[in-house]
Amino acid sequence: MEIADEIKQRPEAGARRLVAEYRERLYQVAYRLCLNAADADDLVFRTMQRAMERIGSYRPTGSFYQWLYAIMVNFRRMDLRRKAANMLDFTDELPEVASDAPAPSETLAAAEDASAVRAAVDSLLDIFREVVVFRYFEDMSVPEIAQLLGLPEGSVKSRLSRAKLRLRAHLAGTIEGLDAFKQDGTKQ
Amino acid sequence: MNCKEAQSYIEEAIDGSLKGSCKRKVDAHLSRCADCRERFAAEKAEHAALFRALKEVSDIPPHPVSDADFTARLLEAVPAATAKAGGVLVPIWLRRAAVFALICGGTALAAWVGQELIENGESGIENDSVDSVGRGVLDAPESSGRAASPLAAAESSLESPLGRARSPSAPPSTVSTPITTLAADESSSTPTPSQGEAKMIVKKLVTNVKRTAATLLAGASLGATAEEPYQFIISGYPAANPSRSFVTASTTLETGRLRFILEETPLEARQCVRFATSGVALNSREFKGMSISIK
Repeated sequence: MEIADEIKQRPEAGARRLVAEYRERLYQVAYRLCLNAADADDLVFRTMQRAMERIGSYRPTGSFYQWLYAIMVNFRRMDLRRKAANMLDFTDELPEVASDAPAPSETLAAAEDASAVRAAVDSLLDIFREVVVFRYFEDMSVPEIAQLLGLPEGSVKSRLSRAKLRLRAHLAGTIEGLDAFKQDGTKQ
Repeated sequence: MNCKEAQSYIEEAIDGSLKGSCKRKVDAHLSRCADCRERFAAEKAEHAALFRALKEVSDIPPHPVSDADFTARLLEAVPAATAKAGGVLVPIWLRRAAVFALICGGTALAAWVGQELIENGESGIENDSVDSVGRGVLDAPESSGRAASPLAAAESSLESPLGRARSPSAPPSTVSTPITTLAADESSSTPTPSQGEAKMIVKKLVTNVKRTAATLLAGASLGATAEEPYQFIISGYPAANPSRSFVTASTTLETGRLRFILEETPLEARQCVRFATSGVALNSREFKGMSISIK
């Protein structure tokens, strides 16, 4: 039986299955978004609670994961909005012309220490980390991420490109390099 | 296809979502351009490194609550009537879709319908000659005006702190300066569409924003229970003069009108509101840092 049907027809069994089959993967993504276990677990909890409450609105057009992620992303965005300390300052402009950006450096591809790459990802601003997590953790395509986040594909690409600029700078290990990138990720 | 164009498709080329003639053009370019081939290869290597670092090696601590406890808490939190939400979803979703398209859509259709819906409000704003603090009125059909907020919240909450960051001292809720009310030009106003007409418009819009269906659904889910009036906050700054940042706030009235209170730089703010509600992209040559948030 489809998970959604099970939740509708047998909420208790459905809840158990939801937790057993989906909690871990949701938690992994939530952790990358929140960067701490307690917030991530809470985010997953609220996502599942909302999914159970609103299971009637689920339409099996996309995957159940995508639906859960969409709920999770919205909760996360609401959290960020409430969190005054976590102010974002960016301009969502048209996609950058790729050839204007510095070419991929060796540093990122050659980084043997995966933890350095993860630390670099964790250092990204939320809006950039969001696309990076779905791109590289969930292995989603540009159109899929655009649909999930409700962004134009151009914006997804633009954010990915800026995220990578920052990652390269971060991994190059030069504070100067990092400072050379403005908040919006373009080179000054 | 030149190098610039080809490189704008790097991400799609990596994830395999490049299709049809576009893919053929990119492939053709790559076959004759060594620089781009190198660039694409380097990006692919980066992609693989990021994928490995995030996906294959996990440093994530185990979740703090056991599955059994988590499930028990979940069942406690969800009342028995779990399946009743579906009944009211569609109309709410449709209504939100309309305003979603008005606010965030970048398509010609959204722009066209947006124009139809807000023409009245626009004229009110255009005719305003108040130069210190003004209040503009944007008319929207009642159904879409009210229902917009939860989705807008979900959609734009990411951007919202910007507005507050730029004008922390003037949160919209604390506006206490005298406000001049702008009367919309009644003689040239477009009649509010009937419910039937509104539904048709909304249906067209929905067809147009299928791309965002998942988000819309989630937005509808999130907002289905919210009954309180919402407040839109639109903020940004003119590209030519970043120091003149502005924040506008709206109150949702019983009539379903969205009333925008314009502060500080009414002229730019008025242009900005018109821009933001006419269905074109938020940022432009004229305005930067724009966001729509919800309060």
